[in-house]
Amino acid sequence: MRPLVLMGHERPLTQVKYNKEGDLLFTCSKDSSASVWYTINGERLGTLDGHAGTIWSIDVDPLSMYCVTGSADYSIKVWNVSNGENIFTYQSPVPVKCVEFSPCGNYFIAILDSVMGYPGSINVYKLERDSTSNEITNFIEEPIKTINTQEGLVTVTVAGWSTNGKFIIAGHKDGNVSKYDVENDYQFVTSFKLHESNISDLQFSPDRTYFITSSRDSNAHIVDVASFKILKTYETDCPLNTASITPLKEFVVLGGGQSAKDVTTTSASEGKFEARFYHKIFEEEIGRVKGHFGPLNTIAVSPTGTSYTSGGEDGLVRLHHFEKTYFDFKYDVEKAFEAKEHMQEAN
Amino acid sequence: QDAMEADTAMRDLILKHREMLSEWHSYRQDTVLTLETEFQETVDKTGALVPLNPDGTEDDDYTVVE
Repeated sequence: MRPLVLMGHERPLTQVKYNKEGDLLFTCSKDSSASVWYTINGERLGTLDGHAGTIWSIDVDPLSMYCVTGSADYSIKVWNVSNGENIFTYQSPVPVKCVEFSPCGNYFIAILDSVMGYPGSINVYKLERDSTSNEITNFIEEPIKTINTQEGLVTVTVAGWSTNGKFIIAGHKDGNVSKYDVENDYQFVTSFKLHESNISDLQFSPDRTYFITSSRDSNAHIVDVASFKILKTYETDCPLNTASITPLKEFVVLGGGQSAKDVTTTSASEGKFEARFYHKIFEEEIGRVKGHFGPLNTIAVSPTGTSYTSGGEDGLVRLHHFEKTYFDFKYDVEKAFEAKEHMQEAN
Repeated sequence: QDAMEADTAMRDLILKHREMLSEWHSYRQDTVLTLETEFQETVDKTGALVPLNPDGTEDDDYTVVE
């Protein structure tokens, strides 16, 4: 699995994201810039320049027309993907840690950090679009909803939308996860302690009915949205920064490593700077991919299931297209199970 | 003795994997069924032929092109 190494950022990567079709890759970094790349060959389509601080998060809408970035410069910017033009800037009282479009693309959430007396919140913004061209016609500067941090919980670090935008799921600094009902005025539904430490990443399955979380407590969990119960647990030997679920194959990919402050005293072999593949159902590690010279800060798997990308503390983006052996890999038990199901269908 | 223990351990692992696989497939079938039921309820309630976004517009993913 020879990767395409994308060298376009000068500082650590903070997030990588594919568009819905998987032909474009969006990356953002602590160097205040974001980039858009063609996944097929790693060619850079362009950069999104305009932020004046770390860009913590990036997301692209389902039509790949617009992308949104949240930054430490107290702003959220909306960009035109086709020409890289910054078409609107929302001001924030505090740094913005995470942004994500709703599945329909007409809304997005932004997580506002809890600093300087601000309690931290999930803000929901609405985008008005032309019904035929889908172009944004109006930006409403004020959020349509501000979900303040629930009493008893600490700051939200990551969040996302479940199937059809029905719920917003949030991961907190103290390891809790919480659920909010979108159709019921974003009311708090429930929460529970999932991790012992900060939840570093939260990514959904392709149908958004379950999600995976990673944490500095070295564990990753898959949780069902409806029942809010833990379905699977993946234990590792290093702090985790990111976790992603693969389509097509029953795998999950985890990434992390020693924290940035220890990297100068840690060799690449000891730092555990590898992407780890686990079998999603059996919870067993099945392989590792080396390459980064520092912790993996972010991983995304293509919605087509044919590639994955990691972004590291070393400032590199490594885009891996899966080879045939990846698709062929199956446990004997899986092969037998499939054969049995096939026979039952035939009868 | 070692070989027998290894055989037993392997058999136990395979059985555990089989069980995990069945549990997961059962969970997925239930989830898909729930999604289909919710979709049908939305169709019955709104008369819409496709799922709706939270703002009431039709979800493009399901729009049928004639």
